[in-house]
Amino acid sequence: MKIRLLFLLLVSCFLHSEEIEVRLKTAVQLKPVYLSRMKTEPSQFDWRYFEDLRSLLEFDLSNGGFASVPSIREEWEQTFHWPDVRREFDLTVWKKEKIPFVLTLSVSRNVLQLTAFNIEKGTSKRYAEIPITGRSEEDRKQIHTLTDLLHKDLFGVEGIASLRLIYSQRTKGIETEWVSEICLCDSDGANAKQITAEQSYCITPSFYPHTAGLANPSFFFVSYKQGQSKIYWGTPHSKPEIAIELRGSQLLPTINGKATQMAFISDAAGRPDLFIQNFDASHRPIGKARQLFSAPRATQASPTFSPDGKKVAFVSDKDGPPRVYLLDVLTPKDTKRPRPHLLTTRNRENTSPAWSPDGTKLAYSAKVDGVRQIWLYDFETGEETPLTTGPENKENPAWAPNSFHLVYNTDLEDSGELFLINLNQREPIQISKGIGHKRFASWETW
Amino acid sequence: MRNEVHWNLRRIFEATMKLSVHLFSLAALLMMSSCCHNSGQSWEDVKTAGRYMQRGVDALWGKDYESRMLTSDEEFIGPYDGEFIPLSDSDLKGALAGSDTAIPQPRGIPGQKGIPALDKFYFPPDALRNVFQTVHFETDEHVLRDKMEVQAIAQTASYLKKNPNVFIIVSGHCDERASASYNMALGMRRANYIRGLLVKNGVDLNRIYTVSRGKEEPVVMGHSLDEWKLNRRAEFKIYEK
Repeated sequence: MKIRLLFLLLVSCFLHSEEIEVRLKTAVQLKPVYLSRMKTEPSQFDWRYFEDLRSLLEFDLSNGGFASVPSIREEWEQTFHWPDVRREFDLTVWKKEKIPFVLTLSVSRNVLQLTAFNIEKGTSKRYAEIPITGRSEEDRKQIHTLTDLLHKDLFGVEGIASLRLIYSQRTKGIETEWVSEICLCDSDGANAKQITAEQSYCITPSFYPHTAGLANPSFFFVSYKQGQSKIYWGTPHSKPEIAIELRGSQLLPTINGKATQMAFISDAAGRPDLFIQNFDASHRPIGKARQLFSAPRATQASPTFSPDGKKVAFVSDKDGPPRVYLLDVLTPKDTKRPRPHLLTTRNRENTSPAWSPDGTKLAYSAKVDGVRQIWLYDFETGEETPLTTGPENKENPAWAPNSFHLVYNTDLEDSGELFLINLNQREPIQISKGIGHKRFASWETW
Repeated sequence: MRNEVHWNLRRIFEATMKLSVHLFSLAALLMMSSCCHNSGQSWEDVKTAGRYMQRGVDALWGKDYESRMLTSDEEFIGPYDGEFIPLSDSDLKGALAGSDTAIPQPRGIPGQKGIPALDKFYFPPDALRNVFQTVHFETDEHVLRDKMEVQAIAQTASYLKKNPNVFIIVSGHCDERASASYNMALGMRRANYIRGLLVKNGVDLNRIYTVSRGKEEPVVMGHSLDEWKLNRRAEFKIYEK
């Protein structure tokens, strides 16, 4: 009788197979921030150069996840009294229009000045003057930093505009062989530049922790220049050094928040197993690598550490299609016998997990209706919800250090682009440009 | 005595039946938890449930496929001559040797001490094409299903045994459908499986290197079942000293 009931239950599951989409609630309403036209005086630089800087500030604000920037309106512009906009600033106009924040921009003698008005509080703040150099990379960096300051002041959250991204770019080489090199770009995709010259296949780069703002941030990646895939580390334009000396191939490295342990996949023992290696402060390995998990007839992939480094999430197909499992990273002295705990159950093909720095979420790529989308697993509720939609395959999500923004790449036959998305604004923005297959992006951290 | 045997058999039978019901319930729960999936995913669900049930049945006979963490300081220190500290799990070393032997990678470093650098390897010349045949895999699998291809690997092994100066690289490849990162690991799995077959056929394990190319190097561009099958492959490069 029991078996009959269960059989009926099973059959009903097959009949009832519709897709239910659950969208995450928007945590914060976007607040309108009016950004004035750039007030310029005659300058050695073209006015369009200043317009570009203004557009950059608008882009950073609009994609910060907390602000919406209305378009310029002449009647509002006429309320500003230059050169000292603070003296006769009319709060009533903005209160009536329900604009909580107003930003004015001016350039005089090649110095950019931003003033922020908090309409609700009736206060204003003049930010430090920014000397415009005319060197795009430098000036853009200053605007990104200014936006992050604004974000902190207006919304009380850290901005990520000044952080850089590292990624690999795959292109056709001179002799028609594919090559893949490591590149660096700003958070908006600008100032992209290649930082390795291996003439080989370099993939899955990551910064070491706490490299934000450094001129030569350390990073690690996988290169095939010895024929097999090995993990290297280096700084931009320096000769990379091998990070882990181990027989066989090593793939998909990730590092914990203190840079003391690296997890990776290796076939040193004959299977694609999960390994872990301890490191010292100068990125040198301590002791031997340790086999952390292996299972017969199974493939392990894509480890990612919890923020405290005590757990690792990874992909395994040990029980069927690839899904994400959790494993305790015990010290060798622990005697209990941990087993991987299945984490993602909603979809059947889950790959490239990434643990958010605040520890509350896991982003991963899951195949739904034949298309790989980015999904979120919420550790507090246990819910799995889609972050993206659309016909392109998406994979390799990477969290920004604010646990609010993500970057991921699309995967098309002959191209792949980087997209920026945040938890409040579900419309992804393509940030990469140019030829090649841009993939495996990750952020630098504060 | 006879009654005792009968009683014991009955207890075993009852225990097995109870377990079957539990396993079936587990499968049903699994299905229920995924009832929101589309019909395209149902077959995957059934396969997953099947594997869970198989594991449950195996557990009855004492088989445990899970690996475990190290359990003592002694294990942490590991074998002094080893490059890494292995899991000390008997399941990983012998129980499933018939279908999935883990063969450690060669100790020698390519390019040193008489071992060829891996960039010196080349695709087999036409005369050896039949000896080093490319073999193919089913979707998301790493074992060979085609008996002809298993025989082809035996033929490769036979050649390698007769030619001890020949070193090879086995490269594992995937089709375009899974993510790039997972395919990197799956390609590694496939290459190591073929390496294991060769070693089981008597080839010196120190002459076989593996590399995974994931889905980075398809032989055909296209999106049909046939084209995907051609790309899910293991192929060989050789070097003769």
